[in-house]
Order: sequence, then structure tokens, then C-alpha cells
Amino acid sequence: MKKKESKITIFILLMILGFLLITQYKLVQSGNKYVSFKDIETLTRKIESKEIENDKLRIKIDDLVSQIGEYEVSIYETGDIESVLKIELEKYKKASGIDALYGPGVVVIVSDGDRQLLDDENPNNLLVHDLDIQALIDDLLNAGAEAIAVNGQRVIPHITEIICNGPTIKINDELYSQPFIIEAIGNRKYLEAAVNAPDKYGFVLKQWGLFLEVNTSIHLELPGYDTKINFEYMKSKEN
Amino acid sequence: MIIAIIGIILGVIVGYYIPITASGVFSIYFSVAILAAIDSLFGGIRANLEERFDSIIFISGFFGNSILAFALAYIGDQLGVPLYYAAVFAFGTRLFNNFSIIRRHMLKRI
Repeated sequence: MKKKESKITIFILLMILGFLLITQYKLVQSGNKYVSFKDIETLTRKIESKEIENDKLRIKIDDLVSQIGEYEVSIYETGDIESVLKIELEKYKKASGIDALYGPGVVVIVSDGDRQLLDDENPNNLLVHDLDIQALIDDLLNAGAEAIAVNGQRVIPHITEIICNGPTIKINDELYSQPFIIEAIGNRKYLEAAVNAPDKYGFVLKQWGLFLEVNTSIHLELPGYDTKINFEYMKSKEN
Repeated sequence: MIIAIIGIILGVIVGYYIPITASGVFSIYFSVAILAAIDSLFGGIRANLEERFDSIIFISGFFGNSILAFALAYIGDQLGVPLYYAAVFAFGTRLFNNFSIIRRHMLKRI
């Protein structure tokens, strides 16, 4: 009896072993390789990022296709693409800041503070510097300002220089003294908050004791950039 | 002996025709578990020849060793240490030991 029982157990266990063996054999033969969990994770992440990239490229393709479609419609209707190119030119003129513009926005007025100096306090603490103006402009740009002018001089990032010049500031090669009036076109609420919110540069200036005032306006008119632009070193790359 | 061979062949046939494939992730775990099972099998044959075969010890060894090897491989994978080497080494060594003893018994019988 004992002998028979042990034979049955051996039979069943060997069946299991054979089953395991063939399963493993099929697995190896199928070409599946051993990949650790960590590798699976990194590969999944890689695939995800590639898919996002693909989506972006697809959007770009759609844009270009729609642009081509616009050109084609224009050729079909009027025989040339002049009108479409004109619309595009208008867009780039706006972006470059050469055109005079109007729109809703904010007016920021900054001038030196008039509080009394503390003992041994540096009077620079109460003066408006070129850096202050630059920082305010940066805050406004970050908040989505589309066009900015200081004292009637249009500010174009990378081209406009804002230089300290004693009691005056030089903007676009013109000298200005205080008060400095920064006009910015964009979402009024956002721009106002970009100056007034705690920790923003405008708020800090007020804390120092400088005079700073923000007003919103539904109609601001900004002049175009009218100084001559000369590029001495930049050359367009062919192709 | 014949019943063992029939068992293994039957297992292979069943496994071959049942459409179950393990995921590639478990390949290494399966291989150490199989090694542990083969080790228990050789241990069982040896015990049988020495006439002190106990089916309870055999069954518990068969499954216990497989599960331990499986667990070792899994823990090693999680910790980044190839712990399944330990299982492969231990079971491999014992396999050859058992086989040499089985050989001696067989030769003595002849």
C-alpha cells in the first residue's frame, strides 16, 4: 500500500515537473527575453515621452497642412498668394513691435520715494534704477504682456536697451527722467497682479518706499519702434 | 521507474497542448523553480534506493524548494542582487552529489 501511494505521488509530481519544463521551454523558444521590472519601467517612460513627441509633431504637421491649404485656396480664388502673405506680414509686424498698436492693459507709474531717510541709510534705496524698470518689464512679460512701452518708447526684448544714466535712464537712445510710465497691453487683471502681488518686484519696490501706482485701462495706444535697427554681426543662414 | 518516465512524458504532452505561456518576466523564476524540482526528484530517487523514501518529505521538498527558489529570485530582483545564483549553485551542487550516490547504488546492484 505504501509503495503504491508513493508511486502515485511520484507520478503526479513528475507530471508537474514535465509541465513546468515544457512551459519554460515554450517561453524560451518564443523569443521572450528576461526583462527586469526596472527596465520595463524605464522603457515604458521612454515610449510615453516618444508618444508625446509624436503628438506634438502631428500637431505641427496639421498646422503646416492647414497653411498649405490656405495658400491653395488663395491661389484658386485670386490667382496668387499675395493676400495670405500680407496677413502673415501683419502678424510678424505686430510680433516685431514695429507697428503702433492699441488694446487694453495697464499703466504703471514709478518714481522716487519721498519718505525721510533713516540714519545712515543709502539714498539709493529710494531711487528708481534702470534695473527696477527692467525687472518690472520682465514681470509684465511673464504675466503675458503682448506689447510694452516706457515713456512712449516701445520696448522690444533683445533690442531695446535700458541703461542707467545718472539721474536719467536711457531707453532706445533717448534720455528720460522720472516719473517712468510703463504701459503694457495684455490681460489687465493678470498684468495688475504681476505688479501688485506679494513677492512681485513692484510690491517689493513699494515696500522700500518708492512711489508706484498701477492703473488699468481699456484703451492704450503704444507707438511702434522707430529707432533704426542695425544688425552688424547676425547673418541669415542660407537654406 | 517506468511510472516516473510515463509521468514526465504525460506532463510534457499536457503542457505542450495547453495554450498557457508565462510572461517573459517570470522566465528566470520558472527556471530556478524547475531546478529545485529536479533537485527534489534526484533526492527522492536517492532516498528510494536507500529505502527510506517518505512521500510527505518528498512532496514538501518538491514544493518547498521550488517556492523558496522562486521567492529568492523575486527578492533578488527587487533588491538588485542576483540572489537566484544562490539557488542555482546550491541545487546544482546537490544535484550532482545525489547523482553520484545514485550511481554508486546502481553500480553496487549490478
